[in-house]
Amino acid sequence: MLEGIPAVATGIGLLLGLMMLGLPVFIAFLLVNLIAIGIMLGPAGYGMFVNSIYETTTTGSLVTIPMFILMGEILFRSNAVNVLFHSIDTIVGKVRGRQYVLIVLLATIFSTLSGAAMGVAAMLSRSLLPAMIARGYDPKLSIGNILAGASLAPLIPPSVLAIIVGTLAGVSISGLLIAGILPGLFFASLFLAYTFIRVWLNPKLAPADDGLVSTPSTRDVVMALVRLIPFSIVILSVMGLILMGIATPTEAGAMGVLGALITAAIYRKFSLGLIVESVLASASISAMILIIMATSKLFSQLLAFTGGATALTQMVAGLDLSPWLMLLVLMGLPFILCMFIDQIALMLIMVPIYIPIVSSLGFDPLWFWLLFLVNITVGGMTPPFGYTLFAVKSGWKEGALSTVFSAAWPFVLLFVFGMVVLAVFPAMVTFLPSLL
Amino acid sequence: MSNLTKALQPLLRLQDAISLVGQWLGGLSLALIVVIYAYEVFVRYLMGAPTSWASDFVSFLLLISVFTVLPWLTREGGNVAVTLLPDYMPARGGQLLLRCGFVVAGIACLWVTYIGVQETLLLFQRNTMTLTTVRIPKWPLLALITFGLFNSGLYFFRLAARPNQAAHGGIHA
Amino acid sequence: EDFRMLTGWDTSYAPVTAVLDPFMQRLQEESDGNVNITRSGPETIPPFEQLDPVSRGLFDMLFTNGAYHYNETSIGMTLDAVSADPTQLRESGIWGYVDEQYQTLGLKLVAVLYDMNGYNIILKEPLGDNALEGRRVRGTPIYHPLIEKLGGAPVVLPASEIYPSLERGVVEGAAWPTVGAVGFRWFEVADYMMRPSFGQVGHVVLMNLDRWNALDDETKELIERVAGEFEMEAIDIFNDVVAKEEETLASEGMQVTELEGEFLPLIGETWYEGAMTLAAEQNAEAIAEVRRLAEEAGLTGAEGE
Ligand code: NA
Ligand code: NA
Repeated sequence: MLEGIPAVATGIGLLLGLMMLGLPVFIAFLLVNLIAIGIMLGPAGYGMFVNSIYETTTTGSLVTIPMFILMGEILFRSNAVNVLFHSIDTIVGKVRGRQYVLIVLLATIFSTLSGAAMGVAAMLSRSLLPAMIARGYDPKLSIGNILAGASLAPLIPPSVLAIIVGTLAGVSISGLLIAGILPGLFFASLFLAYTFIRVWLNPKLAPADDGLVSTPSTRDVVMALVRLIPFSIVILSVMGLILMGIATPTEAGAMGVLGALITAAIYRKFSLGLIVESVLASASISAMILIIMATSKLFSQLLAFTGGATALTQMVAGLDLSPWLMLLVLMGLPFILCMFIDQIALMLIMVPIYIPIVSSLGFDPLWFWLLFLVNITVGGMTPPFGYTLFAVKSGWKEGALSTVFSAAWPFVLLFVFGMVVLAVFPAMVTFLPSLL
Repeated sequence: MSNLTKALQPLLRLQDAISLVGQWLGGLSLALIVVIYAYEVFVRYLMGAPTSWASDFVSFLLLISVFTVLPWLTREGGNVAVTLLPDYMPARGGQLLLRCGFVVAGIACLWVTYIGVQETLLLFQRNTMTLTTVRIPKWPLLALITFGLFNSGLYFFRLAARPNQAAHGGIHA
Repeated sequence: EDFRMLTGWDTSYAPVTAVLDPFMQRLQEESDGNVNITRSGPETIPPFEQLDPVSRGLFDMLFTNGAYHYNETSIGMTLDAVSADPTQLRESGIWGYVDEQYQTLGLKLVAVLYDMNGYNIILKEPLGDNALEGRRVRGTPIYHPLIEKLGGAPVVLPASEIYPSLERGVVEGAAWPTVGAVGFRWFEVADYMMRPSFGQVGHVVLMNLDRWNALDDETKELIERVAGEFEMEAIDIFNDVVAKEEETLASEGMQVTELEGEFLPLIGETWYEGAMTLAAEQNAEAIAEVRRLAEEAGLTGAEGE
């Protein structure tokens, strides 16, 4: 029987090979799983196979994925996106590339509310992205901002990943979330700085401002704000219900759908046709994402079963290097592994092994685990494999996955650069929690 | 070959009809999720009387929405794939590679069907229920997973036979 | 011999490292290294799907709770319903009967490791005059009768949503074993724990039956002897774990809120009846037999025992 590290290497190699041949991603997972079960487990593994798919697709928290996609579909079809753009134009005025700010902001807000970067990436690439492209914004820069914004979600409450890391590593969950504030703002400003520098160097990346009123009157601005109200209903119905404890984040997604319907009604787009089109489209997109998640979950379980992921982690943990090099390998391993292994499964395997090393190296736990948290999210947007990447592609029918990949790289590098800065200046992480 | 295709026509149309109904059921499931959650939030927060069934039904509906929709999605070529290599190759070679991929995908789905049928029967015989507050037999859910993947598998074979059908499908065209 | 053990919890649930690991270690020592056990957790098989892979021999052993597989058999749930220490459990014949029932599914009961401190409800606010009246309390079905008896409304939420739901007030309380509030850090979002606790948490150790039958008699005897001894020791270990947790919780500002008055005598019986009734939905005949054995031996948790 194939075991340990060779099993992991074989599994990942086979998976990558199959994906590169152009097989649908979920089929690549399915096939590797089937082969692994056939070779290693035989009929005894059949139950594990079907139950894993059952388990993933009945996971309540994943309901946020179709809900946020549905919300986006309704908003998109009710012209809310254009109204939003127009209001921003009026209020912000002639700042070239201003809608990139909107897209990174919406990506961050929605993904933090939904707790599922996938749902939001798909939603924005369905609704906001085509509108951006139609207006002459650069597809890659827009996609990059969606990916980057969505990947900030675990740093901002509510955050399922922060709760899991806190629980497994025994560090304060509220501390982690507070520790995430400055890094979150820092990353956001990195993305914006990068975007504006790109636009400044190459003005073609954002449309010229022909036809825009140069100095809008007070009345224009007020009207623009008024027109934002219906859209705000959606954000408020989601955020407000979560913050006031009326609904769980999952339920709040469904309430956001109702909010979107109200918005559609205000914009006089509400109709049975709108509802039918929206639910059909959302069902397709969420099925694309969930079938990948379901099959990849089983892949993670099988990797755990071989003991290879544990062996690999123990090997890295057992290295005798200087603290800085240790930090590099301790972060490098999850960065690579989380391209293939489900984030939660990865944490269950790695965190217990890492805990003693973190303390023996004298690292500040909040600082270390926050970096870890950022690390595994960025894995989701690092080509060639990442849920967020696939989610963007699911939503963006017209585009190619290769475009999504090349859109992702600069922002992955920005994340890596940001993490290096956080590593060198730990106070950016530990300062706010120290005030508690 | 063309005779075979002709003979198959009614069957293929039947398959399409079933899958289209599936697509609609999937959409309906999402709509039901919205309604159920809205009801749950309403009765829990305003009436202080949470239901015991809302979260269970929502989780069943999530599964239903995925596997009722999957076949039609496959028919339309909607599954996410990393087609860098086939796109990069000369047209005929790339096309051939994709078609081989669809055959492999079809075989994988049939393999899953083989496993799924056995497991569904086992659960049926054992009368295993779901581990939820509202308990329903687990086998129909497993049967749906199996059917969804089986039907998708058939579409992969159809895509292998006529790959161009998919290329321009587009779910919302 | 090498055994693969599957556990229903990861290591943030203290009993995995504090109770199971010493048990595995004891088996290894007393067998002079003949019984070697390695464990894997929920990252391999999700907690509620674990019975099947062990009964099929994908894993050799399982460390879990009866409620985690009550869709396959509810016999293990009765272990949490009764009021008995391991000796009473064996003397009453319940231990043997539960083992018999698991054997029909291809599993051998090896040990029942009891946390006698049982279950509790953690709360955002102290108990009122009418116990939990008007409060939404998260709980799996086994808790529902008790939550309702105390006037609360049971809310069904996955364990992963307990922290944020308590934080935001989606629920005002959550029912869970007394061990857990430290590991899951609920003390960050709730300030009270209801006492007395109720029931007892049965952590069962099961083995694949074919694997068991294939062992030589010497090894079987060794495992049975060590398991029998360790069942009693586990109670003390669990008490230590709970005492340590309560100390931590107190230092984090969590306080005890005492249930008083008319509700107090109802808890034991409500818990027993609730758990048994739920269990009977799955295996009516077997549960009736456990009820008979428990009533004969006076282990039903009713007041006045
Ligand atoms: Na978040
Ligand atoms: Na990745």
